[in-house]
Amino acid sequence: MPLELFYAKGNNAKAFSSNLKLNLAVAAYAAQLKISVDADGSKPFLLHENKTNFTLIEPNAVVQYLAASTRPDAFSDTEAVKTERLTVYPGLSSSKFDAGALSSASFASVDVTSPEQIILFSSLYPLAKNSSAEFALKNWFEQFASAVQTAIEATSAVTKLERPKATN
Amino acid sequence: MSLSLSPLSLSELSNEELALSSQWSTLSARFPEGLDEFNTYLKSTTYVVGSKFTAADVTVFDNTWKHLQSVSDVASLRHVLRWADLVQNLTGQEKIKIDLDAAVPREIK
Repeated sequence: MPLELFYAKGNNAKAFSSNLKLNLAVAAYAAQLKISVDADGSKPFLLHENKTNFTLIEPNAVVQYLAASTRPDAFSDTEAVKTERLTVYPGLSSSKFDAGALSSASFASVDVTSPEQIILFSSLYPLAKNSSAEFALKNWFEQFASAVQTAIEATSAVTKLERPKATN
Repeated sequence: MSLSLSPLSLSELSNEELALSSQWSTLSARFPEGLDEFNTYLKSTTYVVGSKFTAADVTVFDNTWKHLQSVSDVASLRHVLRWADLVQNLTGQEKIKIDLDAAVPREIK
């Protein structure tokens, strides 16, 4: 198989988000591909194409690249993608969830094959899964989570989330 | 005299080039986190998507130049500085001063 995918290393929210993106993208666009665990830590990338040595290290780009074979909108820099990049993803470092930051993104319906929904959901999941707060996309978030339980379980199996250490 | 060249638009790129454009546009918004990886990437390529000057170079440059204004260790970011100097010359917008006479030790590969 010329195209190889590797899970991100680590047990933090960023790694979980990356690995959920990979699992959802494979389920949506490339069911024939398997994602490997980089057991010896020698693969500093998430996607690698042997023949051309093409590599990607950023998970949103991997989702978009895999989606591009079937979705003409794969690389669209939509409001949802911008929201993920600028406000949701930065919160993964601190596990801080700013529910108000989601007001600029909206979806007409749940679509588990939409690259923008995969990207936003995957970064939102570690932050919002246990949140009791109301937020603009909560209905969509819960429906999406129900539809992709298998991918969430597969991600949990390879990425054990550790609770961030408290800082004084 | 400065040379000004229009970058290729994203609509003219392959899926691989679009993926690289997306990747570095995303990562450059988080610089300085990831700046070392960008330097390593540019070791073997001229522009953000390979050998073509594209709109991605302009986007990534806009996210990068402020992190290059006061680089003390030129050697550690030599490839980013080379790329940034090329982009600012091509676009005719000089944002950073590059010391072309700086003594930089040979790179250990």
